[in-house]
Amino acid sequence: MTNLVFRGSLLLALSVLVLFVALFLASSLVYSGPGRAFEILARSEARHAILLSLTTSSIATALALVLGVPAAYALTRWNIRGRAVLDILLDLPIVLPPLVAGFSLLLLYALIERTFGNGFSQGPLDLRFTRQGIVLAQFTIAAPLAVRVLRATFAEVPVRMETMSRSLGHGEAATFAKISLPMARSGILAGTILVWARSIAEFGPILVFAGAVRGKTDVLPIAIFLSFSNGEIENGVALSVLLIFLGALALAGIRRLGGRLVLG
Amino acid sequence: MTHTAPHLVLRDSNKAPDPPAIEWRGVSLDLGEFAVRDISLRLERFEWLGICGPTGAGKTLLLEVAAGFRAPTSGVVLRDGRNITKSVAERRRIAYVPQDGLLFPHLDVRQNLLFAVLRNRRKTMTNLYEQVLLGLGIAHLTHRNIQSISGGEAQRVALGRALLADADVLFLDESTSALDEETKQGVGTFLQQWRKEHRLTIVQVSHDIAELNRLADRIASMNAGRLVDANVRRAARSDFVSILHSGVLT
Repeated sequence: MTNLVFRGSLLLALSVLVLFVALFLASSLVYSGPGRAFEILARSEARHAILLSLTTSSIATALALVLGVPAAYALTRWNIRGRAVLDILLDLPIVLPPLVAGFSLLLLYALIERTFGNGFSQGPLDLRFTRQGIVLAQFTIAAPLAVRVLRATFAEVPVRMETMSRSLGHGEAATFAKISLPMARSGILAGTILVWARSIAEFGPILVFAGAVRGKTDVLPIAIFLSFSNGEIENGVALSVLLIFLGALALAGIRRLGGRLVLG
Repeated sequence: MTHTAPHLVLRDSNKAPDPPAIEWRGVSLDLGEFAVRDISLRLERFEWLGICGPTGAGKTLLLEVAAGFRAPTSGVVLRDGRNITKSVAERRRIAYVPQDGLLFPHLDVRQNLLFAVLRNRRKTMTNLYEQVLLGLGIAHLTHRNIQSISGGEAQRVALGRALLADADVLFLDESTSALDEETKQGVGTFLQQWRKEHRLTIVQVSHDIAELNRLADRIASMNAGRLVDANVRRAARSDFVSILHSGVLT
């Protein structure tokens, strides 16, 4: 195969892929035009979905970071026996079919009820088909994703830098706060955006665990699903365009932060 | 110029002799490319020990084992007679200036210099901080980013950071290698003065035999992970230098 043929086939593959992605994204953008999309997005039910999505995904991301940052650091720095098993366990929710993740959450409640009785999982702890349940469903995927991304980020901080800090008199916690965290800052910020973008686009676990109730649990993906189910195509398309826009914005933000570790 | 260790002059003859500031006792660690093999070496208090030897001799590894950067596979390291082999680095009170400086890239020069100085001690340390800035010729760099300073400047900042640390043992690993001869001499003079004032014990690894001859009380030589000579006598130093340069040890 000559160089020309080889390069030609690379170019062909790249062009087909770029054209395919551009066209399927553009189809939503041109469906009803920007004017109509803005009009739909200004309606109260759309504003409710947007606000609910922004709130729940931000809370889920914050919770994922609170647990994910220390967990990822521990996994990066400690020699843990059975690390491979731990890795697989924590990565599983990322690769599981989203519906399975949602069902698993429901089954967790069933298990708790069977073990501790109804009292434990009812009242404020019963998050099924609630807005708090949306956060839990998003967190289920967001936390393992945060750990995965942050591990790569912490692995880039040279251990020698941390040892130098310690030989200059700072303990483990102070070194984490003064060296590891600031040196991993860009990666943490890029990872935060990625986790948030994934949370705001989450659908399967929310549908199963929190339900699809208009005016209550209809975050953007659920609202899109309800719109298409009810034949309100223009509404669904307008909300889809918004999600595409938010996704593009998140990716641009990650790139700006030098998210090499996050995006590859 | 020869320096007599101050404690040798001042020591009360009735007291038991002080334990060595640092002692490597049968220390071994093999990292493949670099290794130290069954090294036993004592460093007296307030002594300035030079260590020379060809690349890959294990000089850096020897320092890193004592400073808490690496754990030996066998042997122990004693600090003032106490076994510190398993102690965490922050408890060893050994300020280490590695070859690459290891300055913190997210902090500016001033923040790096004051990294080891606790906030509540900073006021009382102002005078020492100024002395370090002037003595090492880095006063003009304080607000510069680490990425924007030269290799020689970075070495002096790393040295300054170690001098301001709460440690009475200083490890220098080729820490003046990027300096021109004039600056190197100036830094050497400042270090000698600082060592006297602060009663420091120093281990200096260097390829620059002339510099070690000028500064160290004693020179040890290493090759292929082993200690060849723990005390290259002054008279023999010139012979040793010629041996080193002739490549017999490489």
